Amino acid sequence: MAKGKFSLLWILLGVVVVGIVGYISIGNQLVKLDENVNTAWAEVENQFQRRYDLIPNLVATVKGFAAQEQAIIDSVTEARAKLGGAVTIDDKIEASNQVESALSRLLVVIENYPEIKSDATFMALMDELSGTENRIAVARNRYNEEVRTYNTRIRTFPTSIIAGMRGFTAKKLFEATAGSETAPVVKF
Amino acid sequence: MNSKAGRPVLIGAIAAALMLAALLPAYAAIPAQMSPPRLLSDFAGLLDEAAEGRIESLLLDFQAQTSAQIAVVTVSSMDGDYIEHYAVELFEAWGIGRAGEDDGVLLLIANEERKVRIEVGYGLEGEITDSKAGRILDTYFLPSMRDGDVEAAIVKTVTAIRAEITGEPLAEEDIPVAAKVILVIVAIFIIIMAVGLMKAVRNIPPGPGTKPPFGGFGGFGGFGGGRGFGSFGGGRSSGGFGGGGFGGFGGGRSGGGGASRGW
Repeated sequence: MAKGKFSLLWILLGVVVVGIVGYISIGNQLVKLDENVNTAWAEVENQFQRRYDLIPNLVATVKGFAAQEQAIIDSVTEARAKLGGAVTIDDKIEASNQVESALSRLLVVIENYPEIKSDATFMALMDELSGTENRIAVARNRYNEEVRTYNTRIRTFPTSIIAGMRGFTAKKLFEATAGSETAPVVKF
Repeated sequence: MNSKAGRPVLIGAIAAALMLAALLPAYAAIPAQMSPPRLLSDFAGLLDEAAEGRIESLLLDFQAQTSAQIAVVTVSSMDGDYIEHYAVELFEAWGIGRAGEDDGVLLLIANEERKVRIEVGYGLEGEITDSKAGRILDTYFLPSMRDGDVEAAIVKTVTAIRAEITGEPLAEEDIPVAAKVILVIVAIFIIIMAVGLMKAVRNIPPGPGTKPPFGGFGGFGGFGGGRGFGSFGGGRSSGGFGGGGFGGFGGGRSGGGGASRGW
């Protein structure tokens, strides 16, 4: 009987130790996954910034050729300003999608101006812009991948318990505007 | 039953497998690398063997000059994928350029789609901007490609890419230095052995003495080990030392920089 109590004590002790070790190691894993998401988001913001910096050049060039398209040029400028003012991730994503759709409308309009498309400065600018849109698509995919890994982890038992205790909550995916998951806006 | 103790390990293993699966999405359409790896992989079969050899050695020269890896890949079809997406996936799967430096460039040619892309590794984005990549394709790739001269298109394009890269020559010097250090250590070891041997010879009275010569051979064993290590270093640095062949891609990454064209 005494021997039975003794081993029960050991089992209890073992469970407690396993619980503590699990709590610490799973907690650390979650911190790391959370950090991966942050890093991936930082890259998205880098590319937002790159696009933000490019737009004034683009607008100036387009104005030189197609000043009468003022409404569309303004919508790009406005969307850019909104992106610049966005603070939360949701706002930034929304503003970014708005910039994207304004840009694609602008590029459709540009189709009517062959002289812009043969301009060397404009060509260079288009390469920079399509490269940037493509970088945003890549950064977005990588961000979503990290978010998916993180979300799956914090919703999976028993990690979900520790995630709840440590205050890790599910993160939202960066939903792109339809059709732009892989395709950059700028096409030749 | 030790299921309680075993559980976290099992969960950890499953989690690790899940994470691995998430980190390595299925690259269904991305071809596996050639074996042994090469800088030029002509999956579409656009080049004859002689041209392949010329381009491969050109690319190897560029790597030796700059440490950067310029990879050329032709595929017959991308199975409906966009070239921008396909290029990033292939770049990532193969790891073109050195890890950390990310100094790789991929020239991808999709034959059926008639698309070409220069995909630039993170580390070279400053040197090969998107507009430069576009201009290189316009100036060097498209005219030759439209004339049907695939080799000229590739050679001119990679040469133009090379001209933009200001990398350091491949660290061939490092290996001989490391090898020299090892040789010096080995030499010191041999001298110590020799001194010991001479002492031993002196101490052993003249007569049947088989032991000293064996001591000497022990020293030579150490020398052989040193040389072996030297050539291992060469393999790691992508075949700069004693080989001349391509040692494989280094795990570089790209983030969608570069430019695409159609011909």
